[in-house]
Amino acid sequence: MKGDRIPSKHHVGRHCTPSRLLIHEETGLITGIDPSAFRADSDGISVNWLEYHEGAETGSFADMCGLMKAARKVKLTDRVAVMAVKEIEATPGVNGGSLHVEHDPLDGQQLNPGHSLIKGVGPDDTDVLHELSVLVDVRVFA
Amino acid sequence: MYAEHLLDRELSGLSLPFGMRGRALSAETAFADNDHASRLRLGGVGSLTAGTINRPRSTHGAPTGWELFQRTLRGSTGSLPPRAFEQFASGFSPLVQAFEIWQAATTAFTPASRRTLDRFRDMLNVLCTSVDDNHFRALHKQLTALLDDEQELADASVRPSMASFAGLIQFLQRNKGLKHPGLSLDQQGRFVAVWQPRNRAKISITFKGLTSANWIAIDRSGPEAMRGSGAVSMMAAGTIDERFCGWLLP
Repeated sequence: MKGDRIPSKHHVGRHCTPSRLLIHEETGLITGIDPSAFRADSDGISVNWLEYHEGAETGSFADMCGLMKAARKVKLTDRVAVMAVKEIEATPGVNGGSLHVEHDPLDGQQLNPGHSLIKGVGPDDTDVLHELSVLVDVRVFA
Repeated sequence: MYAEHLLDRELSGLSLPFGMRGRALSAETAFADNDHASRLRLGGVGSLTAGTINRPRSTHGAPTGWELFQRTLRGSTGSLPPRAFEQFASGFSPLVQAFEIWQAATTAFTPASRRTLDRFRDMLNVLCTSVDDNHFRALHKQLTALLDDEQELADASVRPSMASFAGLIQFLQRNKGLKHPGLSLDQQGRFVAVWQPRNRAKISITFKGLTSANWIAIDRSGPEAMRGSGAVSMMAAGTIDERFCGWLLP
């Protein structure tokens, strides 16, 4: 339900395009993301709830990717940055604030029932965004 | 005096970009970087007397900025006597590095319709004497990965900054022996060098231009998080907090 907190033991994923990825110095492979990949706005950071489809036969990661692909065009070179909610919550916000993740399902043309928001961080919170960027596990779209 | 006079006359006739004209070189060279304008202060030109000419050599087969600058000058001043050219060149020896950057930007900007990746590759090739082979090869790979998808850059409204890229190269050139960093782009198109000593720890240096950069570090690998940030001197990586400085080394 909209506004519900996502459990700490769950995960969220963020769609990342190639120019937002961190490219390894020797292999040229992807080892992370740039903080700007989060594209935070005043509402927070848009992500998808990985366990939204928990229990589905195809597996929750594939289902989450399916929702992301339905909402946005995904290229072969794009990636998903997966983060643990508990690690997001352990990241300090600005001025002693805290971060959490809320369910924020989208209706209409942008239909995305697994859409969620990382709250407590804005576009100018450089340090927080940088810290979040070390917490990601970058995966290929399923 | 002859060379100085000639230099003024010849350069005033050249179609140099960004308002560079003869002795105006002693003030500053502006090189436009998309919407941003980064200014590289060159200081005094110095006297135009004969002396040792520092001519960097390309180690990668591409012409150096110096060589391109020579070609530019010769192509525009067919009657320029070689001796005068030597005198002229000697006066610029302290500025070769600056010219490399300037020329690289000029080369890379022409024509504007070229692909972003090609323009940055050109710039890297021109600046290649400033970085060692490991950095050069790695930067080529990284540019390809980051800039190959022109449409994606346009969709994301990212315009990669040449001044930022020149700043990165300058930093690598001045701080020998650093491990080559990972590379990413921020939303403003600035290049971000990243060193990751282990999982969940990294230090990033964002190159805001040729002369300005910031560092930020985080370590979430242990029970207690470590954080730090500050400005980077383009001359020395040692200005980074000693807790994190070692992360930049092999």
